[in-house]
Amino acid sequence: MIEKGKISAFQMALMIEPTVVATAVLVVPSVTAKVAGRDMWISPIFGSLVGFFSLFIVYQLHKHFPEKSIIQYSGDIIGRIPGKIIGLIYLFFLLHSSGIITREYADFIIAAFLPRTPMFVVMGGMILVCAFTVLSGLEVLGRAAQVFVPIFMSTPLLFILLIPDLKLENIVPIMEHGMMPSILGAVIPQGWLSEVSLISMFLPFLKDREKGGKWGIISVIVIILHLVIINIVCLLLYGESVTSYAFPVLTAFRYISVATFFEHLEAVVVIIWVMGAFIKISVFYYVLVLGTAQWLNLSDYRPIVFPIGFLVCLVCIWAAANGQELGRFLRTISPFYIPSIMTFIPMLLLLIAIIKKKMRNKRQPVPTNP
Amino acid sequence: MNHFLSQSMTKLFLVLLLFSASFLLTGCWDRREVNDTALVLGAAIDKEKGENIKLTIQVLIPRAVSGGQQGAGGGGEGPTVLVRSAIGENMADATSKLQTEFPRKIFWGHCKVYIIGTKLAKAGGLHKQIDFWLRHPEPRERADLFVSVGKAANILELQPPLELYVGQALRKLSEMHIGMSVTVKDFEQMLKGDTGTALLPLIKTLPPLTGNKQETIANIIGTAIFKKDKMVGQIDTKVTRGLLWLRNEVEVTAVTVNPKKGETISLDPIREKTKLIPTIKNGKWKILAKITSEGTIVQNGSHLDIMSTDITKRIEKELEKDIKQRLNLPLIQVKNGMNVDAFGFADAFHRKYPKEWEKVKDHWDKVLPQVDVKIAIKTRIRRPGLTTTPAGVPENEVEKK
Repeated sequence: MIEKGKISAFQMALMIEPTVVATAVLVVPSVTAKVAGRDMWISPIFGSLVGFFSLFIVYQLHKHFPEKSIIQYSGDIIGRIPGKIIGLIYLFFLLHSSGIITREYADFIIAAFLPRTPMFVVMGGMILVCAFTVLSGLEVLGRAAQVFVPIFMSTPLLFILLIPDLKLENIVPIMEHGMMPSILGAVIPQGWLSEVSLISMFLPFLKDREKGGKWGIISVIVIILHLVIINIVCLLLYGESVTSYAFPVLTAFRYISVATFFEHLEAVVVIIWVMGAFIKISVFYYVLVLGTAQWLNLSDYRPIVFPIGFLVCLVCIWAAANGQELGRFLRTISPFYIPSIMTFIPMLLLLIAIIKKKMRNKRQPVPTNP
Repeated sequence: MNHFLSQSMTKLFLVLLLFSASFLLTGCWDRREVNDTALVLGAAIDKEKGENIKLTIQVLIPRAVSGGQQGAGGGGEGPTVLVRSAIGENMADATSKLQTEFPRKIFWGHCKVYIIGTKLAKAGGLHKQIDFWLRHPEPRERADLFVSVGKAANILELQPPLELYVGQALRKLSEMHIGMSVTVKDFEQMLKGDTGTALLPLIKTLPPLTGNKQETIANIIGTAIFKKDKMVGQIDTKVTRGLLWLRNEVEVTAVTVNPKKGETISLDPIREKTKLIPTIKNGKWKILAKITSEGTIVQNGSHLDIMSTDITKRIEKELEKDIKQRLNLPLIQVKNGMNVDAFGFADAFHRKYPKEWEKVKDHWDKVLPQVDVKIAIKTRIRRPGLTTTPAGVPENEVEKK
C-alpha cells in the first residue's frame, strides 16, 4: 500500500466532521432559509438521509474490498478501462471541489477580514500549509484533526452568549406551508452531507476497522447537530431576514455583546474556523493526492503533493469569476454536482458489485452439478 | 568535520527559514495601525437638497483622551472628539469625501450610534442608507439607531457632562430601555417583517442648565413610527411606555396611583410580562393582551396602611386601572390614529393562525382597524418596602381599611 500510516476510527470521524461543516456554516443557513423559510432548521435533518445513505454505500463497498479505495476497486468491479475512467472522473471532481473549497475559504476571509490582500496570498498560504500536512501523511492529518476539531466543534458553545438576543417566537409557526419547504430546503445541506462518502479513502487505513461504521454514523449525527444548532440560532436571531446576510453565522458572532465590553468576538471565532477549513482542505487535498497516486499506480504519493497543490491553486482561481458566480454555483449546481459523484457513482459501483456476486454464486453451482 | 559543518549549516538555514516566516505574519496589505485610523464614534445623516445626504461623523482624538488620563488633576482640557461633515449621494460617497478631511483612515468598527434626522426619515428610502451598515465589513450590526428631532448633526456636537462623547451617552440611555432600543439588525428585521412596521427611538437635545450651550445630552422623548422605511408619525414618552408594555419590552417604570385626591402610592414593578393571545372566532379577529406585573411599593404618600391585605387588594385594582389607561393610549394613537401595527399583532396572528394570515397578509391595513383588543391585567404587590405605616403619620390617623 502507498500509505503506511494508520489512523483510528475516532480520528477519521474527527476528520469528516469539519469536512462537511467547515464550509457549510458559511452559506447553508442563508441559502436554506431562502427555500425553507422558518423551517430551515429541519432541513439538515432531512438532508442527513443522503449522508447516512452515502455512508452505508461506501461502507458496504469497503466490506467487499477491505484493502482498497474507490479508485482501486472501481477497476475490480467494472473492468480495468471503465474503472480508470470512473477514477479519472472522481479525481477531476476532487480537484475541482478542492479548488472550490479553497476559493470559498479565500472569498470569505477576503470579504470579511482582509479586503486588500490578494487572493493568491490567502489561498496560497492555506494550500502551502495543507501541502506540508499532506506530505507528512495520514497519521499527521489524523492527529491534527484530533487537536483542532474539538476546538472547532466547540464554537457553537459561544452562542450561549447570544441567548439574550434570541427570540424563541421566531421559530413558530412550524411547517406553516407543510413539509414541502423544509424538504426542498434539504437540497442544499444534502449536497454537503454527501461528502461523507470521502471516508471510503480512509476506511482501508483504520487500525480498528470494525468500528469504522459506528464512528461514521456518530460523525454524521454530530454534523447534523452542528448544522441544526447553527440554523436554529440564525433563525432565532434574525427571523426570516436571515436571507439578507451572506454569512449569517459570522454576523451572529459579530452580534454578541455581553455587558457592552465583551464583544467583537468574530476574530476569535474565525481563527477557530480557519482550523476547521484547514482540516477540510487537507482532507480533500490528501484524498486527491492519494487517489491520483493509486490511479497512476505510483509507489509513493509524496512527489506529486506540490504539483497537485499548484493545480488546486489554479482551479481555485479559475473556479469562479467573482463571489456572485461562486454563490450561484454553490446554490444551484453543487447540490446536484457533489452527490452525483460522491453518492451516485459509489451506488452504481455497489449495485454492479452485488449483481456480479449474485451471478457468480448462481453460476458456480452449475459446473459442480453435471 | 565536514559532515558536522554541513549539519550546522542546515540547522542555521532552518532557523533562518523559520525567522523568515515572521515576515508573513505582519499581513502587509491589510495591516492597520491604531495611530493611522480615525475611530468613528457616532454618525448622523441628514437630508440635503435633492437626493443627497449630509453625513456627519464624530471622531475620537486619541491625544486628548490619553492626556486627560495622565494629567488627572488638570482634567479634560480640549475636546475629546472632532466633528466633521460632508455631503454625498449616499453613505459611501459621503464617507469618501470625508476621508479627504482626515489624515487618518476612517474606521467604522467602533461606531455604535447612528442618528437619522427627521427630515430624512420622513422622506423615506432609509433602506438605501442602512444597506451600507450591513454590507460594508466594518460597521457593526449591533449599532443603535436613533431618529432626532431637528438636525441629527447638531446632536453629535453636544458635550455630555457625564460621558466622554454623545455616542456613549446615547448607547447607555438606550440600554436602560426607557424607549425603544433598536439595532441596525433589528431595524432591518422589522422592515422585512410581515407588516413592514419599524420603530426607532426619538431623541431631542435636553435644554442645558449651565452657561455652556453645548454641555448637555440628547434624551429619548418618544418613538418614531415607520411604515415601509418612511416615518409616518411619532408618539411621546407616555405613549411609548404603553407601547413597550404591549410589546413586552418595558423595563423600569414606576406606576403611581391616586387612591384619594392629592394622595399617591407608587409601585416599582420588578417583573412585567405581556402575552398577546390572538383568537379568530366567526371571522372576528381578537387580541387578548394578558399582562402580569409584580413589584414593590416604593412610596406611600397617603394615609392608607398598606400592610392590610384589604387595602393591598384595593391598590392592586387601582394599579390595574392605571396600567390599562396607559395601554389604551398607544392603542388609540397608533392603532386607531395611524393604523400602524406597532405591537406585533400581525406576528401573533401569523404564529397562531398561519392559514388565516395567508389570506389577509396583503391587506392587513384594512383588517387591523377591525381587530378587537382586550386587555387583562393582573398586578401583585409583593412587598410593602422597608416601612409599614406611612412615614410621619400618627398611628391614629392611619386608615386601616
